[in-house]
Amino acid sequence: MLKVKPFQLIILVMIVLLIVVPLIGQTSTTKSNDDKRPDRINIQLGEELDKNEMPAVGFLHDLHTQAADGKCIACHNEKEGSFVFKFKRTDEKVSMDFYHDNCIACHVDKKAANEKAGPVSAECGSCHVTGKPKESSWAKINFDKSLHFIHESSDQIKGQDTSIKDNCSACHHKYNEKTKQIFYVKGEEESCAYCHKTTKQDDIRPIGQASHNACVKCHQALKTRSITAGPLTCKGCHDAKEQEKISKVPDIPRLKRNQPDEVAITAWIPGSKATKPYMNGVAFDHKAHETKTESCKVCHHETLKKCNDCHTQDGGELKGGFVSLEQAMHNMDTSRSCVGCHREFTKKSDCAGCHFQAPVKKDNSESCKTCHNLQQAQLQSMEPGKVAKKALTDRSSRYKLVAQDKIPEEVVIDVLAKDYMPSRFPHRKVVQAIFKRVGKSDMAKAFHTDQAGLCMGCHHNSPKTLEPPQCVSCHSKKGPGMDGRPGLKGAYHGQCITCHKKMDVQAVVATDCAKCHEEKK
Amino acid sequence: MAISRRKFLGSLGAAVSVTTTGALTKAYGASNKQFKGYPGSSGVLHDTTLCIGCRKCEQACNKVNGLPQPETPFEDLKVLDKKRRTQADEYTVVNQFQAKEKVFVKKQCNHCLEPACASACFVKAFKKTPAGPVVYDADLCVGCRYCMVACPFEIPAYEYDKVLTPRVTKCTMCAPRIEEGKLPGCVEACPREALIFGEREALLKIAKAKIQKYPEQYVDHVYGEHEMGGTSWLYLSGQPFETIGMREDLGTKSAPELTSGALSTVPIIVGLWPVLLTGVYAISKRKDKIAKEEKDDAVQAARVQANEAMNQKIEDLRAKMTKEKTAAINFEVKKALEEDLQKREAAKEKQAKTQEEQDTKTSVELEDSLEKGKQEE
Repeated sequence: MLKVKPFQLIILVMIVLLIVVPLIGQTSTTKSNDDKRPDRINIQLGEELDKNEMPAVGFLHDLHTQAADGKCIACHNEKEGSFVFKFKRTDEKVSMDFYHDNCIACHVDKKAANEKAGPVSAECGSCHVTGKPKESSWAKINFDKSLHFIHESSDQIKGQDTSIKDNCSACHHKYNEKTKQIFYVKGEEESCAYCHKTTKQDDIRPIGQASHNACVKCHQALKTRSITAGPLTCKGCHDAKEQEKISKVPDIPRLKRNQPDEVAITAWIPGSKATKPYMNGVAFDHKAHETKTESCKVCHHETLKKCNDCHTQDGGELKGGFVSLEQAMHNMDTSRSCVGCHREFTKKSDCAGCHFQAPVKKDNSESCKTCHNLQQAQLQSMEPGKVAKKALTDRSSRYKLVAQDKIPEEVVIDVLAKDYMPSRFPHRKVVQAIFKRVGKSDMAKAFHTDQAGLCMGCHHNSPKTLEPPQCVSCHSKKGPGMDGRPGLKGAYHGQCITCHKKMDVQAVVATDCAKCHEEKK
Repeated sequence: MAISRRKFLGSLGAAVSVTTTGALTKAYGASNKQFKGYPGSSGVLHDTTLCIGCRKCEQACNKVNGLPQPETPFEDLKVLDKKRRTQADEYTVVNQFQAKEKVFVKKQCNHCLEPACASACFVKAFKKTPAGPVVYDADLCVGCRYCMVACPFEIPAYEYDKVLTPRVTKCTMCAPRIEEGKLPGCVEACPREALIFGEREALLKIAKAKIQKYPEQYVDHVYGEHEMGGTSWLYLSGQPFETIGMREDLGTKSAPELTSGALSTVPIIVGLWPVLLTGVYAISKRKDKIAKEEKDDAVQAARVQANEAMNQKIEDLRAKMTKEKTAAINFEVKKALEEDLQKREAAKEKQAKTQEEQDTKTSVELEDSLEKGKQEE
């Protein structure tokens, strides 16, 4: 047999150690460097690296911002009053030597001044780190209503137009394509993203450049005057943990942009002569929706214009993406439409008990009336906004309650008692629990104006009444019908179990039979 | 013979392949008239979105089939933590899957429209009844368990513990109960009506109507409508079927359909081989015979030719010898004549010493010319 001599063994162990030891070192070092950072910029010339080329440079921006004392000008050129977010150049093509010369020159200077400095020549591996380029932990910053308010209410931010009291003009502007200049019009402010897209469009800079130039430059200017300002580092805005540290203003006053409080949404253009009848208009509570949504962009996805400016009645126009007003408001596949967004709310546990079991499309002419309640004659006789306001105040005062004594207290379900004792269903308790959960939401109250309507969540397919027919009227004791209708057993269990599950009623487990009906002994 | 051995075998092969592929196309042609199940046959629709995992179906199955009581009672829902399969004494099991949400799926024989188990069984112990259930006859079964290998759903189980009377067991769709007009045990017991029994066609309509009515709650697919050529048990799910333990790689062809192409050539091959081999034998035999005849002919011809040549030679020789003989005779005759003449002359000289010399000369000249003429002759 094979005999391993001692010296052979020693050599083998040495070989193994030779292979393994450097690897141990490597893994440990890579691990310590593996922390993702939001400020990592990959500097790589050309799309793909040649085999003979050094790996890309993982440039840590914040480290350099710190070294330059937050002075952008140390590395970035200025052009037409704004920084060019390219390294020490404006538009020129860049070469490897350009980076080497400029980076190393600065590092050498720093070293000479006995300051902490980056690698100099012949230390290739320090910048060109082998292995896969490190991922960045960069996260998008959401300039939400709270952040907007902080900026809007700041005393330090000064607008371009000093004659106007507020500071909107500091950031918001319009663009004159002929003179290629930006200007400001009060009351016509729009969201940055409407013009500044993620990529460059014609003359318009991408959002990244535009925002960095506007935000960072302003922050820097304020900081030099020793005024508390927003971050200058990448991390300050683009790190998830840092974002959490940004203070949130709890009660944000409404943004002021001459927007209406109430809107009458109609395909009919007020003032025009209506020759044909139009669908009844919708009284839309613009003010309430402003506070409930994250930003204007949730609904106003392209501009802050009125819906029917682009989405016309017939939808045959490019500016509206060939989406008609009807589709824009009712399309269930998008959360931007009224119906689509409201449907999302019905999935919440307070609503899902009933709504989950309701078919997606239920032909109910009554449901149109819930929103479409402004008649054309009304709109023509009065200012549409006022008509809408009146309709909305009427509706909010309309929420009708059902008297407690009208709700049966207990319902004994004994039609199926074969293996189990009859179930004593605490009807009033359940109904009141549902009323309570619906009452929490203004939206739910606006749509369920009558509590009696809530009964129809369980007593479905019946017209709204406080005395609905028994379940057995439609659901057979014999079992499911071949028309897809559940049998009585399936209907009861389906109604109760699904509702408990969807409304998170955890006290009653579906498989705990005896909880609802005792077993017959 | 004009045909070579190579050519012959080549054409033979072509002929065989034409017959067999002809048979194959025929088999596939028949598949256009796909068997869609017996009209009016029954099935069960299992809506997995409704199942709460109460195991009442397992309990009912155990009861109606008179199976032994399990070790853990049916009320114990902890058994759901482990994935189970059907056993000899458990015709149905409920499994729990953690997809986007917890999903329970009942597993039992799917009662294929064209069952793999039945097609694998060579004693026809499994049979698809027109009513829907796939039933098993223990009296016919030889215990080969091919059915267990064939089933794509891993359903049939075997009574390994019964040494003398082992049977293959699986869900019967409660065929005896259906005949009595009752519901299958599991269907009757399901509190949620997650199992609906009825005509398969009607169930398909119900399933599709449910999908249409609640498009957000269901995957737009009825499992079993086409899987393995269709099954009597149909399934609805809110999660992709793969995530709730149901194979999506089975295709839409039934097991018999997949094998029928190959199997349909069996009779042809079995029928053709004796004829083919006899033919091949006869032809090769004939070829040998012909070759032998040809050889014999050639030998005969060669022999005749050799004889002729020999005769010719002999003849020539004979002619030559005759000629030589004649020549020798003539020579001898002449010699004898000459000798005779000399003798006679000598005698004459003696006699006619008196005679004139002129006379002698003439006589010699005459003699010469005579000889010459004879030689020329």
